[in-house]
Formats: sequence, C-alpha cells, structure tokens
Amino acid sequence: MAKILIIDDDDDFRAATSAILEAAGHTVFSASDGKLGLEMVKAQDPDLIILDIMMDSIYEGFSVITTLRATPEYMDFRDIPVLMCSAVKQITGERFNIPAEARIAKGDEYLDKPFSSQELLGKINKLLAG
Amino acid sequence: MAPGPQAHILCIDDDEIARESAQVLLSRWGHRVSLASSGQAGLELMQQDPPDLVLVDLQMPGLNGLQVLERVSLSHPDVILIMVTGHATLRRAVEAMKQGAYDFISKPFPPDELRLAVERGLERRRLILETKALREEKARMEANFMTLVSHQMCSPLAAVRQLLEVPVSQARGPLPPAYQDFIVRAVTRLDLLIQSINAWLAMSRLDEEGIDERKIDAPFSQIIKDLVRRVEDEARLAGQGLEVQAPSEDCVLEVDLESLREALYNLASNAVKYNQPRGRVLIKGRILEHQVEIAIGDQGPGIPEKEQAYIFNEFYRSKSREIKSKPGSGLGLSIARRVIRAHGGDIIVNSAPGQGATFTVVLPR
Repeated sequence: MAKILIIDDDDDFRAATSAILEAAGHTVFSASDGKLGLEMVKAQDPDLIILDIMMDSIYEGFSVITTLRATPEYMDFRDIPVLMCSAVKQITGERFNIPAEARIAKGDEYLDKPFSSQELLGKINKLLAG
Repeated sequence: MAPGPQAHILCIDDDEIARESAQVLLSRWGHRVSLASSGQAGLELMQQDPPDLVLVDLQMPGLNGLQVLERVSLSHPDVILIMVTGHATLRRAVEAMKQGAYDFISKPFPPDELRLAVERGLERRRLILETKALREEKARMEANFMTLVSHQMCSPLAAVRQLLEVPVSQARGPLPPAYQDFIVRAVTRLDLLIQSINAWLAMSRLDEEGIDERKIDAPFSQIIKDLVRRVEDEARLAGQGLEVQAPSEDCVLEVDLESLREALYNLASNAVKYNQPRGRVLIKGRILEHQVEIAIGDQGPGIPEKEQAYIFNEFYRSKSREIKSKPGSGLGLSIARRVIRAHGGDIIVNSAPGQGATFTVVLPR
C-alpha cells in the first residue's frame, strides 16, 4: 500500500478523499496549502501526490508542481507521480498549458472534482504501477 | 465614435456647387465635413475616416446614390445615410428608404430642411450607438455572471459530492440499509446538478470565445487516441466493451482541440451511458477525400425516429423511459453539435428502436 500526500485547501475535500484512500489501505498525509505541501513532500517522501490546482494560496497547484519538478532543492522528489485535480472544469484544458519544465515526469494524471472512489483508485493504481 | 455636438458628415455629390454649399452650412452648424465628388471616392474616404452621417446625391455618373447606399449598408451598417435627389419622385425616394436610407431631401432645399434632416439623422445615429453599446455590455455581463456564478458553485458542490462519496463507497463500513436509498437519491440529484452547471459553463464558453481563434493543426489519429484514452476507463467501469477501428493512414486537421475533445467525449460517454448492459461501444474513424468521419455507436435502446429531429435542441430530454432514467442535462448533444458546426462539420444520427444509435461526426480536412 502506498504513502499518499493530499495537497488541497478544501477541508471537506481532504477529509473525504482521505477516508476513501484509507479504506483502500493507503497511508494518507494532507496539507492545506502548497507551501505546507512542499514541506511535507520532503518530510514524508510520499509515493504519490494528489494536488488541487486552484488553491487560495501563493503556492497554488501550478507553482507546487513547477517547484517540485524543476528546482534542485526537490531533485530527489521530482519523479513522484502527481494526480492533479480541480473543481473548475476549464482547468482540464489548461493542464495542457502547464509550463514545460513542470512536465518532466511522464504519466501524471488529471481528475475533475468530484470523482468516484473507483475513478480515484483507478488513476492511483495506474500512477503507482507506471 | 458617438457623435457629440460635432459630428463627422460626408457629402458625396458630383455637383461642385452642391458640395460647397453643404460644406458651408454644415460647418456653420459645428460639424466636421468631408467632401467627395463621386460614389467611389466617397466609399474610399469612408474606409479611412468613417463618418456619422452621409449625404449622398442619388444621380451621379459612376456609382449612383442607390449603389453607394447598398455598399454603405454592408460595410458601415451603423452609419446614417440621407439621400439627396435632384428630381424628387416619390418612387425613387421610397426605393431609397426601402434599401435603408434614413431620410431623403430634394434639391434645391432650404437650409432649415437640411438642418432638420441632419439633426434627426444624428439623433438616430446616437440611439443606434447607444443601443449597440448597451447590448454589448449586457452580453459581457451575462457571460461574466455565468462564469462567476458557476465557479462559485463548482467548488462547494464538488466538496459536497466528495463527502457523499464516503458513504456511497462505504469507506467507513457498510451503510445501514435504511439510509442507503436516501444517500443514493441525494447523490443522483447532485450529480445531475453538477452536470448541468458544467454544461452551462461549456455553453457560455462557446459563446465567449471564438473556436476559430484557437484552431491548431492536430493529427486525426491523435484525436481518436485521446478520445479512446478518455472513455476507456468509463467503459470498463460500466462493464462495456470498447472497439476501436482507426484508419491506417493519418491526416492533419485544423481544430480547436479542447472543445472538439469535449464534444467527441460527450458522444462517446453517451454511448457508454445509454448502451445495453454488457454492450459494445464502437469508435470508428475514416479518412475521406475532403473530410474525416468519426462514428460512435452503441447497442442501446436507440432513438425513436420522431425524436431524432429534437435531440440536438437545448434542454431536450428523451421521452423514452430507458433514457429518462439516466441523468442528463439535455445540453450535451446541443453543445457537441455547436462545436462540430463551428468547425465547419456536422453530426448525423442513425438509429432504429432496439438497434442502438450511431452518431457520425463529419469534419472537413
């Protein structure tokens, strides 16, 4: 079972997603903003990150992923697969505009919020297997 | 520019004396005046420096007044045109008015008559510009309002639905059977609401942004691959088989990838949703001489012939019980068709009751 980090500023969303992941046997950590999230990446070295794109913080999703993938500080963590998600559908399209340096890791996945437990676990298994 | 106290008036007349007298009078009343001695010269001047109002002589060599009028109403529909006739006949005046002239005056005219016609014409011009500005403002507000409201609703609704997913997936142990039905009903209603909001958002985006401006070259094979990738999990979860027949060759299409992806996904997702249990969804791409086709077929209940004309209408929901039982916003197909038509293509539906439905998307190549 995997160690999963959820970075999301929505308390309810973190609670619900944690419950589903824990029921599937995963160990879950969560962070309520991007800055905390990046600190937890270093502290916990998760197997996978679930990242909200639109957060009300200076470190929203895109900066988190750019920092993770493109700064020397995070060299050891840059291959951690990331499942990006957002409740605003338009973001689905914008994910193709993620800065090039942020797209180093192959096989990142995207999910529109809300998602069913099957969808979530399906994507996670895919990312962990890849 | 809205005509203030000083308006820009263009006088087109082949008669020098008529032009000069118009200039003297109109300048005296505080307007800026441009002069042209022929229809052609007048139209050229209009392109460089569009006036608020045009005074044009009906009878001129070359382009006559009516021909000028015809071109002006195409190129500058907001500009007021007053026809000046040498030999006023009612028939010609009526003809000019019918073709969109705002007014006519006959030569020789007393200054007061010209003044009155010009003032009324400029008043009309002010109204047209105001209405236009208001209409644009209203459209902008509606688009912003839609986007704002939907965004404000998206996050909390997603959170509520995600919270409900905990009992639905029984993540914290089995749900007492007495509560099961209520949770399922709540989830069904909520899913429908979320689906509607997403559809509205997609619709308002189509109005807001030009698909043309976002067109890029994309290989046909990639479009099919993206579609399959997106719908395969959904098909698997629904216990449906997915059969893909992609053409062996490839070609490049000029498309707005984002909206086209959504439109095709919508059709494929419908095929999964409305298919018979353990059915098969077929996605088949074809390259023809001037167009490509993507056919998406299911083996569901089919669409009754009399409904086929309406299924692309906004908010239309099928009357058939099998289809009504599945959640839908009634917007998916209408958005899909708008997207495909904005690409210069179309969607054709082929269906017979009990024999499934196939939606064929045709796109120019």
